[in-house]
Amino acid sequence: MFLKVQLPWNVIIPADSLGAKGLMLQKAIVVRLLDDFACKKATKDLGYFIAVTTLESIGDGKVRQNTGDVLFPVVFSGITFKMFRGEILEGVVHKILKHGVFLRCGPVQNIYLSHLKMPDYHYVPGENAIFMNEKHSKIEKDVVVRFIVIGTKWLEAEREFQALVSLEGDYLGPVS
Amino acid sequence: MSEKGGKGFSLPTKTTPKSALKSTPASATARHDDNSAKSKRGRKVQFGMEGLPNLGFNFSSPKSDGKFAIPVGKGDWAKGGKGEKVVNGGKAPVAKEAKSLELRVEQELPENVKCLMDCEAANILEGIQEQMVMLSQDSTIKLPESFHLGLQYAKTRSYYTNPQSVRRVLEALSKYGVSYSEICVIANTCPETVDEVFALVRSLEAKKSRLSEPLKDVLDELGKLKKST
Repeated sequence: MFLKVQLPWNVIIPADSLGAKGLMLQKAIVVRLLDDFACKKATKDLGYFIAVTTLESIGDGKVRQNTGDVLFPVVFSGITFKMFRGEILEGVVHKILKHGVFLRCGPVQNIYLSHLKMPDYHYVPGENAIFMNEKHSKIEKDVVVRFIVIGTKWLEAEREFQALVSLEGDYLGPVS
Repeated sequence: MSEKGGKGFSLPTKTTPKSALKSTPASATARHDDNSAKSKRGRKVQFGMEGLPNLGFNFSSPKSDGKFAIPVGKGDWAKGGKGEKVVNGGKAPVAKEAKSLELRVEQELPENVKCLMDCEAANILEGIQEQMVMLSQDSTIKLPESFHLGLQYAKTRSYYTNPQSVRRVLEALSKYGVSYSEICVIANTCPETVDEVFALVRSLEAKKSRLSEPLKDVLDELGKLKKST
């Protein structure tokens, strides 16, 4: 789900941006903050960084000894997205394999739904392989599926999450 | 070989020669082991080689009809067999696990973090997008990669026209002990019946008797606030 977070951050302004134009300093801090935020992509605790909403405060700048940059401690509010165990979400199928399907949900690109967690659905092979149940409900590419999250995993190296989901339960499955 | 969905591991297909299969076990098992450590399942999807030498290998599973002759891609079937065998033995834990899939968002989150409903997030993100149109004339301003994906997702999930009214209606539930994250899940799933709410938000099962009546009223109110698409 989406989260509203309030975070402290250290924005480092290189010396050459600290011109005599005092007002440009605030802009430089904001731009630098947005840049750092965009580069960070995601963290384990807060999920994927989506957007900065407000800049709450900018503290006093401290000059860093060796480089001459100035460090400004700021506090800002932003929106992040994180998947939680037990949460109900909807994702779009983008790949079908014999033992399960891969889905995307918002910024999370690697969500796996195993065939073992798709009660009553069986694999129908073919050029456009699908999963189907007795009531002819199909899980195929680009179908939106409502699922429950069994678990998530944070991959430090790629800075992204993977998730394992299930359709075991009422009101879960493809939605029209 | 890299496939779109498979970061760090590749799932073998029927045409994959045996040597490629050999390279997958470690990474694939590692991934699935991590996932099974996270959840309390007894299943391990083992991409093992033990079953391979036996042709005409029989296994029983709820999905197959009984006897199976292993086709060309025998590696795949051995995999499926192993996985399913273990699951059959471990059927009891699955039911228990379904009960334990309860939302525990509040315990996991630090203090200064609040849950947002998808409709609220959609409003905020759309506002930012409008501002970005103006700001993008200044090329130094960057948006995070996930912004567009997040915005698109929020828009498809926002079923209500007015998030503040939705919040007001759902807040009536908080005096019955429903946490804010549970309220967000209810708003996000846009349920039509009380049964749907209890099926989806499993952590509310315990309070079922107290909640049924107020929930029904809340759902009626929410029904009026839905977007007509």
